[in-house]
Amino acid sequence: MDAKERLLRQAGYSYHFDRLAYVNREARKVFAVETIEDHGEDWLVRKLAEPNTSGAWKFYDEPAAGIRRAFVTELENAEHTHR
Amino acid sequence: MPSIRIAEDYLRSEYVRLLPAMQRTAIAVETEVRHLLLGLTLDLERFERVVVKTRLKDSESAIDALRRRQPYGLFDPDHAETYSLTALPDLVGVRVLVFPPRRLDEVRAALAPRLNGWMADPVAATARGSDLIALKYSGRWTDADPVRSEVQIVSMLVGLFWEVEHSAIYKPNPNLRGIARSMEMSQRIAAVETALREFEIEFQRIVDDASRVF
Repeated sequence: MDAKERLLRQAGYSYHFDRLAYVNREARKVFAVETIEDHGEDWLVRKLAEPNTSGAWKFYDEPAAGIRRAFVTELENAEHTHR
Repeated sequence: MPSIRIAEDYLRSEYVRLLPAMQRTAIAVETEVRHLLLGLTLDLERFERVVVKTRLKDSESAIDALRRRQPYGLFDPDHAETYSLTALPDLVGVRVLVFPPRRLDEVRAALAPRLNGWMADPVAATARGSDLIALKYSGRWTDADPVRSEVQIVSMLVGLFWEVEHSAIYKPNPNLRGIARSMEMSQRIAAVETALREFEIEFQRIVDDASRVF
């Protein structure tokens, strides 16, 4: 398995293939595949360790406001469905 | 009553406007590619193949391809009218399937003068590898062409694998395309492509050896 994929899985991330991103609902953090590909493992380890205490979703990279809104709505609708 | 159009609505209208130009370009690109390859094609051994295939992206595939190029695979609803299918590199696509792989260079050389100035996108067998399994070029067939075309030169088995993968999995479910971008799946795809390429190279080696003996 790819080393970065292993790191993401160990940290509780799942691949969201329609959004081309790795998502951790508990940590409320999202990594775009492109961003992961553009950085090394050291960067990924550092970013995975970053706490997210804001209560809001944290994106690596931060999208435009409209895209953030649409994606967060999807994530939160799915959260309600799964409850 | 206000009209609320999403990006897909604008893009479907644009597709209808672009379609006649796409059809003309497809005929022009295919005809010229076949013409440039004619000498080479007539010179092939019985077991060798150079096959030219042309396709136009259909409306929904084109819109989905453009969506997947956006951050997080989403059109920005605040700027729905700003997207254009002309940003795609391959609304018109011509694929040249070549067997055995030693003919790839000859095909590339025959087409190179016509593709001069186009954007080259070589496809390596693996993410870190230097062995090429395909060459992709994108550009406008004429300066006035509103759409961009892509010419691919690819080894036969890899090209047919891409066709099977596309028609079996992605054509009925375009949103599954994102699966191929997962890091683990990328490795699996590279392994299949490498195996097919090695098959072709070994096939060619045995034919070459035999031709030296007989």
